[in-house]
Amino acid sequence: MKIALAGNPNSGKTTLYNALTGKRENVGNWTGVTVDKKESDLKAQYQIKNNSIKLVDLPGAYSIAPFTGEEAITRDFVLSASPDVIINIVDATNLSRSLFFTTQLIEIGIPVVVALNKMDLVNKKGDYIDVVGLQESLHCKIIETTATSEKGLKQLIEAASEASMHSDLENRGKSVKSFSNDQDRQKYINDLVVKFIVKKVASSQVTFADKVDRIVAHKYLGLPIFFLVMWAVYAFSIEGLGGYLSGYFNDILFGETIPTAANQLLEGIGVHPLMQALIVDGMIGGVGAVVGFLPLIMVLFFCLSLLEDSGYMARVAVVMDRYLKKIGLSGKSIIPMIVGSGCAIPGIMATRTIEDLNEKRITTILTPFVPCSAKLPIIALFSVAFFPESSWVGPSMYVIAIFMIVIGGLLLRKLFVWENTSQFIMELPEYKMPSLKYAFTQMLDKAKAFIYKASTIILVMNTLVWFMQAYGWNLQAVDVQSASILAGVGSIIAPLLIPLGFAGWQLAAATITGFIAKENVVATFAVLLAVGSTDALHMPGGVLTQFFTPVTAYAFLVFNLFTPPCFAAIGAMNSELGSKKWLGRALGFQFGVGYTLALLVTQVGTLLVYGEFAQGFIPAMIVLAVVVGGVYLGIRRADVKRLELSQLSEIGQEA
Amino acid sequence: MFLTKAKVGQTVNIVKIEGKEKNRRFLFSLGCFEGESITLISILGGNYIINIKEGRYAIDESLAKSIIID
Amino acid sequence: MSTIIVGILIASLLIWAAKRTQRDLKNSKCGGCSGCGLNKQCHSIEEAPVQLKL
Repeated sequence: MKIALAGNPNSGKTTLYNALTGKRENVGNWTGVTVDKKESDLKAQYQIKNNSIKLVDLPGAYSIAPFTGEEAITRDFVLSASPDVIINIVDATNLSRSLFFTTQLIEIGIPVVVALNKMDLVNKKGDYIDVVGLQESLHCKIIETTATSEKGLKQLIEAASEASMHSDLENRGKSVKSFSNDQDRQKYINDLVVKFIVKKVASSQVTFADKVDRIVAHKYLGLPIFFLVMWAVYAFSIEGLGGYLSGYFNDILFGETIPTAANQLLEGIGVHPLMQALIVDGMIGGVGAVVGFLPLIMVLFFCLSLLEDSGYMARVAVVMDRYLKKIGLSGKSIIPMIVGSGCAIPGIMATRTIEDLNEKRITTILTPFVPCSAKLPIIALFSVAFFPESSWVGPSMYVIAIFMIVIGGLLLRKLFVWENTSQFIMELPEYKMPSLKYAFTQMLDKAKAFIYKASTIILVMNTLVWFMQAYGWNLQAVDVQSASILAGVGSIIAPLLIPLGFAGWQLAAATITGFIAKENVVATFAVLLAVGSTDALHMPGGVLTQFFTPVTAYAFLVFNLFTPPCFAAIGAMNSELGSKKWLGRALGFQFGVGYTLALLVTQVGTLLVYGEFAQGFIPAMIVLAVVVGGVYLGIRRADVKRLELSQLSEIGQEA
Repeated sequence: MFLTKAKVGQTVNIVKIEGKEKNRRFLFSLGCFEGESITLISILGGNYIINIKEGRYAIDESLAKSIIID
Repeated sequence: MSTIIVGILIASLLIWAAKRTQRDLKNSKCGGCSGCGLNKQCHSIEEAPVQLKL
């Protein structure tokens, strides 16, 4: 038997799906994205004997869009999943809106069982819903549920199974109300609501939550509060608990215990020294340097899950809408960026919800600026090694990111000719106590994925890096790293980095491997520096200080954060932008921003902090002049085009 | 007049929804259409927090201007 | 001798990792991000602000 889940976004559909199947799907409801329908068997405890039940999760919707041709599509979608019964999840706290979709579903003809979800919230508010009366009017079974605490789920499945048995069309045909137009439907629903629902407090009253909103989404306070919250989260993850645990992992576990044990073991069985070096320095050293940051990632995702669960993020979108409007985007662009703080790829994919093509393109280009979790190890490593005393370095990356998104958006708006006409609407979900259990499972999920990644792409890249630094072009092991293949490849690129104050092929090599996956920057440093030195990579004032002053270290961070993201994300950008021309523009823009920003940090920073000119000051000024000139010319060209367009439209109006 | 002219905390009746057909349709499915009431909860940094039926939504100024109230 | 045995072990591990990497990158299922190496689909956020389609 197949049960389909359908309902409004944010009605708790995915929570219910997860509770019933034991899955850990964390796909949010971005309406408008054609989400693949998810299918899974029910958990054993909810199965009904002699009847294997499958659950199909459908995308959330407010309506089956009865005015358009889309009606057919949605209807087909429901029918193509060919469910025996539909469970319509209804947010009991917003029954009057949900019933619109419910009545549409009932009309389709497949048996419907309504899960009246979030009953705990209704009870807390002291509202009353006459379930029996509503049930009779709608001619379908209604079960009260609370998906978060798995209440009422057993009854729900039983009711669904029973409803499927008599898909009593003869009965339904008579009794089911169908509506010739949706105005009548809304009227009918309003009558139902008046009849069966007693609200203790009218929802139009200004509540405590609204007062909270007035503060956290305040015109001036909103942004500082958001920064403060993010600072607290990142300080806790990078400097606090996460940083502490990672410090232990990096210094003790992967710094001493495991390498020593591995060395002893391999020496004991008499393995060739080069093989030993490959395993200990290359594989364990490189992967270990990344896996060492696992606690940090776990703590961060735990905190972020709590934050997302609380409902605060919707308010952030409201706060940011104002600023994004200024650069021709809207609050819609926030979603990809928030998602992008986990990983740029789903962030870029989330731009599909944006209909305006130009807005979508700009968002796609800007989303990778948000530091994703893969960039965290770099941030953490550099903050520990160069700024052990200050907790502002990590969070400052996010501030710069937001700043650069605004500046970048303004620039793109000047460089390319387009106009934005999109409008913004966002539901503000009710605040709720975040679920520790959910945050915990999310954390474990992320941890598993992180380890998986470390054991695949990072392991492969590291081994490659190790070989390239250990062997020369003649495929003979080299005595000094500087004669190796990697040094050769790095030296080709290294001159490009001189204006940024980065000297050494090692930095170029790390930057290249960073394009494969950003964590590789850390791993590559670990491999390269472990060979030359015994000092720990993660220690304050460790081996990295050979290459950087604190200022250039900060510039290197900026450079790695704002240059084009990893290959996988570039692939996602390619498929979302849909044209090679735009992909080229996007990568060019991102590279330009990262390069120029790092250049400015190094040159201006060195001048301010140390009172002297940084390395490569003159080439830097030349590059800067070229960049400024290029941007100026680009804007001029776009202005000319804009003028032509406006003249054209004037002619059009006159004619 | 536009919704933007309503006072904070005021519940008003919708006379008409203007603007693109697509937007009107969407607002309709949320329960925002002529004859329904709508409450302006607050104005936060250029966004209008409104209550339609039992849901809270943030809409921007241009969308708020497409909602005509009496 | 032991070098060869360890070598084979390491080589098979690397081949496994390389195959996985290649497959993930090909399916562009976030092979490159730590957010979602395991899920069939890319992760996004549950209970996230609901994006209404206009």
